Parts: sequence; structure tokens; C-alpha cells
Amino acid sequence: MSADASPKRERTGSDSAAKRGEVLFELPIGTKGQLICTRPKDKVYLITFSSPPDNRLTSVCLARTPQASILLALDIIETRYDAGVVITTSGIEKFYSNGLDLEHASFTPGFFPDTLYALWRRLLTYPMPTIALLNGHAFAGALMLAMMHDYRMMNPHKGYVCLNEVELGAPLRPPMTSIFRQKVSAQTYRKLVLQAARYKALEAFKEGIVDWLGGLDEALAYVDELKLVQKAGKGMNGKQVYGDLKREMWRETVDYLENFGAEDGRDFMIQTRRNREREVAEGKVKVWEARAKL
Amino acid sequence: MSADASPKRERTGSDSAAKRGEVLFELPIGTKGQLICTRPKDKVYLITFSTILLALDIIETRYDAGVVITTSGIEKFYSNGLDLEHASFTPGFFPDTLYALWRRLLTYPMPTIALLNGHAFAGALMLAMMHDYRMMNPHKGYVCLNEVELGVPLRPPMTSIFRQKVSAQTYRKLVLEAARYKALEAFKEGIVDWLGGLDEALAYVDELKLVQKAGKGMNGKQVYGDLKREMWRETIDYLENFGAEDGRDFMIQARRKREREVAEGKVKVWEAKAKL
Repeated sequence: MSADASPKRERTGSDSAAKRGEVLFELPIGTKGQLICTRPKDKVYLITFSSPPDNRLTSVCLARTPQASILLALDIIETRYDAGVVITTSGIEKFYSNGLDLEHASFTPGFFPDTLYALWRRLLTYPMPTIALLNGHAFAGALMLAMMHDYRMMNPHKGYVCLNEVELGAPLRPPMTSIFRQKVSAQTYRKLVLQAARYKALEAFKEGIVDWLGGLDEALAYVDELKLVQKAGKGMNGKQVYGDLKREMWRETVDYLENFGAEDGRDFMIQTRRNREREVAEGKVKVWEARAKL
Repeated sequence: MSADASPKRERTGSDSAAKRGEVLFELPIGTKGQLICTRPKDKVYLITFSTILLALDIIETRYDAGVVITTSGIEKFYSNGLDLEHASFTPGFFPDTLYALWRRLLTYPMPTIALLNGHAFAGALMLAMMHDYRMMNPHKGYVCLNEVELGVPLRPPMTSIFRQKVSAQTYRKLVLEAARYKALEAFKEGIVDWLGGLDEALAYVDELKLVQKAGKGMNGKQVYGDLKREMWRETIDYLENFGAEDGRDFMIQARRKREREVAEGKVKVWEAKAKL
């Protein structure tokens, strides 16, 4: 699930610390990284995560992976602060994230459900609007993470998004295909999955993979224009239903994320079936070849 | 599921034999038909058909992974759809032959292109939708789903594939309006992906680097068919679990009768009150 080679230099994003607003809390990521939550505007929470060199979503040190830290940050915001809007972005200039550490993901038991699926499910049903602010590349698992947000915004000058599993020879698991099926057109879906198309910002915007172009300033303006902070508030009957609405909207993907237990059995059945079909095909072709010789 | 009257004349497609490339193999179809598989370019296989399951098996097991293009040897039609009488009265027609072909295409471990040289109505358009890409002759032919005009229902995998591959507005136009699309309209609405004949199809293969997509990934595994199986999961589930259809059809019929009776009852009550 990874793409380009790691960057040699890591610089903080170009949005200044002042713009990012008052620091609310900080969490460590692994041994070298960090997550900072700031408040650039009233009720807008900016989560900036950095795990050098490229924000890979790994499961090294299970308790302090990027995804575990983001999960804790989301919990803190929901329980300790007023409902508003959550924006996530990267503190590493070149990458939003370089995706999953493929070797690690395949061989660590529980990687998918325990950490990754938990984060995706949390975002998909989070009771506040969420925006993925793509400051740089978002490949494979990183693009999937961005899709689990309600909105996506992309740096117009830098970075690609793509799903390159077909080039790596890696299959996509049910929730991974499901989220694209639910959120982009069929043509874009095919282009992403079967062609591993690399999208620059403008193309991604035209095809609806991202919703707007820009950096933090544009994201904050977007929040105002769509009145997203208000959307997180209680409805006229006193109830807040934003998360519930999302849970119903994205039901197909949420079901796959929650019922991952069924995947292994299904994978096994599919493999068995495919082997059997291959044998049957081989048999039919042999019969045909035998006849052709007569 | 058929549409226009059968054509009186059958001529081969207008792309010449030379363009179609070296003949790899030929298969008979019924007593009068024939399928020819040629190779117009390295690792591009052209099947001229009307049944193609065995051809797909031969290509997968005996040739290098590449791209499969299917087209018709009958100039006017890609296909005129299903023989409705035959389909309805032959036990196992749907699952044994049609669904098997559709499922095979939908999960085939190589990119597939339906090259629509002429009309594709109803079952033929569904067959085209089971391919990864569709290309249409800009000068000839319509595509449409005319079940509403025939009074024929659509079975679950038939609606599912359109739900998965075209927009909701196009889906409604196809199914509920039996809209007849000429090539340019079909292209604009995303029912087909490009316009042209064999030359354009081969150029499209090059432009999208489709032959390479059929190759092994960096880890040595080829996952093209597996990716498709996950992408089109809803339709594949319907194609594989057709056994549940009959029971569901029966329940739907029974329920509809009951609802009609209940409605009739409510209306009678209202009419009686209206007279007072």
C-alpha cells in the first residue's frame, strides 16, 4: 500500500503556527512522531499528525500508531469540547500519508480490525463534520482514510492521489472498495481501482474525489460557506443526529468495517472456488484440444 | 428480451480480416454459427462470437495475460438480446449459461472491452455492461433496455449491474423510459467509454496501458480479477445466489396480491362513506 520513496527532508506544513490557532492538546505517535490538536477558529478543531518520514499508517508499537493517536484525539474532542468541525492534516509537507506499511499490515494479526478499521469506522460515524485537508500525496490506504471523512480538500500545487493496489498486486478488502463505491461515480471508481490512475488536484476535483482546492485558509472559508459548525449542533427537537445520519448513509461500508470476522471465511471460499473453477476450465480446454486433433 | 426483427442479411463486421490479426482458434456455435478468436496485437485477443465461455477459458489457460475484446460478426447487431421464449421456458437457462457467462466476464482476470459494432438491446446491453469497458460504433446502432415496453421484469443481477456502473439518472432513463441511446448520447452519459471500431479500441488499450494492468504486480501476484470481484460484489452475489430468486419472486407476488386486496378494501370503505 505504499508508493513513492520516503522524502529526505521533513518540514512542517506551510500554514504558520499562528494560523493553526491555540494548541488544545498534544499526543505522541510512536517514538518520533506527534499529533497536535489546535483550534484555528471557534469550534473548528485541527488535528495535525506527523510520523516521520511519511506518515505511514503502520502498527509498529500498537498503542501509539498514528491511527491510535487520531482515535484518541477524536475521543477527546467529542467528550471535552463543544461540537464543531474536525479537520485532519499532516505535519509532513510532502505527504498527507504514504498509506499502509504493506508488509506489516499483511502480517500483523488484528492490524486491520483493531487499529485501521476502528479509525475508519470512527470517522465514518463521527458526530461532527470531518474534513481531510490533503497537503500532499495520499496513496492507497491514505486515500481511503481521506474518503472516510465527510469532505476532502486538496493542495492545488502539490501531490497526487491514487489507489495503486493493482500495480502492487495487493487485493482490496471489502470496506476499501465499498467506500469508493459509495462516494465516487462508477467511472471514477473503475479508473482508480483498475487503472491505478494518478490524480493531480484539479482532476481529482473535477471527478469529485475531492470537494475543493486549497490549504487551511480555504478549508476555514469552506466551513463558513457550508455552515458546517452549525450542522454539528442540536436539531430543533434538542437531538444531535449528525453521526446517526452518517451511519445510515454509509451503511454498506460501516457493515463491512464492523463484520470483518466474516471476511476470512469468505476469502477462503473465494480462493477455493477460484481454484476449482480454474481446474474445470483446464478440463474443458483439454477436451476441446483433444477434439481439435481429430 | 428481444427487440427488432431479426436481420435478413448477415454480413461480417466492417473491420477487415487482416486488421483482426492472426486466427488463434475457432469454435462452432449451434449448427450455423461460429466464434473466431484472433490476435490483432501482442496480448490483445479479439473474440467474434455469440457464446464465449469456452473462448475465455482457452485464452486464460493457454495464452499470456492481456486484454480481451468481444465483438459481433453480424454487422447490424452486437446482439439482439435474449430469445425471450427460450429463456423463460428452458430450465436452468439463466443460471447455467447466461449468469455463468456474466459472472465469468465480471471477474475475468484480464481487462475486457465490449466493442459494440451495432445494436445492443436488453440482454445484449447487459452482456456489454459485464465487460470492464464499452466502445461503440459512432455511426450505427442503438443501445437500450426495452423490458418495460415488452412487459418483462428485470432480474436482480440485471438491475444491479446498471446500478453499479451508471448514474442514477441514466439508470432510470434506461429502465423506466426504455430510452434508445445512439452512440454520442451513450458516451455522454457514461454507458459507453469511447467511440469507434477496432482501430480505436486498440488505441484505447494502448492509451490506458490495459495490457500492463493484466500483468503481475510488484509482489508477483496478479489481482485484476480479485479487484473486480470486490468492486462488483453486489452483482456477483446476485449472479451466484440465484437460488434465492425464485423464493423471493414468489413472496413478492403473494405480497402484492395481498396489498392489492387491502387497497381495494380501503377504497370500498371510503366509497361507502362518501355516499353518506
